[in-house]
Amino acid sequence: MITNHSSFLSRLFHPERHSSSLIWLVLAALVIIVVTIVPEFVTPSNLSNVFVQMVPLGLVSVGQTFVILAGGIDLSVGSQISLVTLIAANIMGDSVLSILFSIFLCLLAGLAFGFLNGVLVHKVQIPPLIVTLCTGFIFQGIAYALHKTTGGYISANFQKVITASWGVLSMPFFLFIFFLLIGFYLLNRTRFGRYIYALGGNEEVLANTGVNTGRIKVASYVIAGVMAAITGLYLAARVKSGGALYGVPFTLNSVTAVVVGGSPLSGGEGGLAGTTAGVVIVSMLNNVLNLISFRFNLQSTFYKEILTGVILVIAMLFYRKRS
Amino acid sequence: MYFEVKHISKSFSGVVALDDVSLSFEKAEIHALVGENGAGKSTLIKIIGGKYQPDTGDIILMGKKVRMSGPHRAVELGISIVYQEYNLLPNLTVVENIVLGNEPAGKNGRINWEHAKTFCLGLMERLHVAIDLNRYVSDLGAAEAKIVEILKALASRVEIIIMDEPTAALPEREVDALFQLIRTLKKSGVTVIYISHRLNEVFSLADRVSVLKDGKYIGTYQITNITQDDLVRWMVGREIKDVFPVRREVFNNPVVLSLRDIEDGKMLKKVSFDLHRGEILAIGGMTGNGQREMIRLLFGASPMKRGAIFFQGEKVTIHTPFDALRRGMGFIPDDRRNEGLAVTQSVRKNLALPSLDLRQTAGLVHEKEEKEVVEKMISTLDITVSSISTAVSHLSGGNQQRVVIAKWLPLHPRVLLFHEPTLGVDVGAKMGLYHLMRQFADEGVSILMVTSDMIELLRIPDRILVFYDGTVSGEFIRSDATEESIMAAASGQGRKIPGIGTMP
Repeated sequence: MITNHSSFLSRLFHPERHSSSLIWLVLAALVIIVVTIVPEFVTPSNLSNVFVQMVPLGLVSVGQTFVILAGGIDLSVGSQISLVTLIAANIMGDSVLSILFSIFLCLLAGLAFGFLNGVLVHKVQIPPLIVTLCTGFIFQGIAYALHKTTGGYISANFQKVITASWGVLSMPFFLFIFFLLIGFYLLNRTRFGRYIYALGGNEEVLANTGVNTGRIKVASYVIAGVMAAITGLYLAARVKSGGALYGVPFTLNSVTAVVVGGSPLSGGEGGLAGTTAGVVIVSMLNNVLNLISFRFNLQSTFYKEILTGVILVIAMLFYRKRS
Repeated sequence: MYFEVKHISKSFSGVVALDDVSLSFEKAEIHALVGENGAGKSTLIKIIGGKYQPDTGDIILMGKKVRMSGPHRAVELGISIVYQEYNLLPNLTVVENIVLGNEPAGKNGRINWEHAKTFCLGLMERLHVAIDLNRYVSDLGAAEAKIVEILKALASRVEIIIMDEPTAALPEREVDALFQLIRTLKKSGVTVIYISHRLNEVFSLADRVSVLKDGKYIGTYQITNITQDDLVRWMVGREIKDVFPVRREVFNNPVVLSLRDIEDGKMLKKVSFDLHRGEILAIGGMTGNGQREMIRLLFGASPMKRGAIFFQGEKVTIHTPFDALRRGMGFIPDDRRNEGLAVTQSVRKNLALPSLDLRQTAGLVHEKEEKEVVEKMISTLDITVSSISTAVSHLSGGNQQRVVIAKWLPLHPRVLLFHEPTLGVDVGAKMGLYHLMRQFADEGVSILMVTSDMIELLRIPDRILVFYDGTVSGEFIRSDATEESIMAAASGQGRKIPGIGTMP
């Protein structure tokens, strides 16, 4: 009998290695606490609100997961997102052709951003943290240059399609699920996925095996770039404009979601199941803390920031290496 | 000729690692490659494996010149390397590691794990080994991991397999299994290039042996035509004189370190012994009977529960390495790369570290004085190094060990604790280290060493303690000890001989 390799169940039984399952327990506990303190969290309107907040973070975190699993990090995704919203807002017209062309160009841009990051990390051998910090500045600068005070133009038809909803179900929901499943398949069923984990585990070993590690590494950044572009397109559609600061929160939030989801920055461990939970936790915290501030009439946002930090530290306690 | 390297030279920032080395290998032979650390063996196999590019020279496979542009090229040509260092992914399972890079394709870009497992089981059957394929490699012991590495090396099409010190991490019976495996490989037409420091292995396994020394090729010999002494002579270029005389007079010296009923609550049970000034005392026994815990406890690296330690007659507590240092102890750990050295840093920084406090004012280091002290250490201990700013990682094992020892000297240690003093050190450098230890002892430094090397145990110390089950099970003046009597004590059969100065 061949056991299913990386099924969620098998990961659940290896919590020390695939800590991602643990985070679902944390999430469950958190939901129970939240529902007890602020029952209004579970109202349909609020839940759909949470969901809308969750989708862009989810999309970008899928890409970030690939990079972090491969032992890298991408701190430029936020600027990439902003830049993509502006590319879309600058070139999009109303015709189907124009919309498709804009989408194509935005995806191409994401691919190019990722490729640039990957090549700098692999060929030029600059540490990923530095590379993506620097390219992040560059992308941000270009974004400022493209920024229009009017917000540019995003076709209403594009917005309609991207934000369409049918009752509880919605286009954003399908988008997220779609890319999540593709990512899951790539990571857990294909050679490429094995190599991503192997790369994060020990690059030297993978290279000794005769695998071209450079390609895998560059591919991880390309995936992050394309996912950032998709996130940018979604945001542009939702807000119906482009903006140089739209992507800013997503850089650190995506890293947070991945790490809280059980993929350590050292790479090689964790996965998308955990990242999904991480995304839910990060988005939920934001929403719940808003509700709490409102309910207990707390005036300022600083409680929110402090509580977010405290709760994330508590979540991270689960991943401490037990000696 | 089946496989050749011709006129290979390679230097690293001016230091010649290989100097015009030519070697040839035949199909289906076991060809041993020997030489001291720093002789150039590792550099050579990294060139063959495509990890390094030679400065000059060619690699010729079946009459055709090949360019090893990278590890993937070597794999394509059927050359596999089992590296000395750990070369597995602990975050993946056994089967995932073995087929890494050769995953059988299934539908839609998937991996066919069923095929992968059948393949691995077949491979294991062929080589008469069995390891659960679904276990994570991080859960494997050193021996199992080494076997997985060999399986991994065999998972692609293999014509030539190079094994770099494969037995270093293996217990005896696993070594036999490995030898069986190597002979099976030879029978199936594979050329095995076998690198080892253990000459008896070379003699029981190899058809031919080639010797490298200081980056130069010395010669290739049929194993049946030579003796171990020949090999050693060619490797080190001199005869080795074996035995140091026991110095009985040290037993009359005052006791420097005295242990009474030491327990650590886990391994050690009522350990008592004395160490005299200028004495070399060795602790032997089967690995895992408390020797490691004992020496680490003395340096404050693991905690003590009960008992008393007296240092020059005064009762002391040693909770941390700092306490041990303050009492004048220096520790040379077995894992020198992780515990003894900052390998990426320079010789100077490593040597200066423990005694920084002696050469500073208000936190500022006296650079000039430091340089002088470091240079003096290097000349006193005869450390071979191109410059004091060379990174320690570039030194040979023997020279690294000298750095670990030298760094304690400015603190004028009364006691030096050696844990496996010559682990990973080649034959010639070993003798150098033994001489050094004797020299320290003659100058009045007391030496306590833990060793698992029987030859070392029977050659160097003045007195031998044998540990069994966490306590002293035998005590010998070295000249009275035999391999048999030590083995008897090490397996718990020996009588405790009322010793010299152990009883109060």
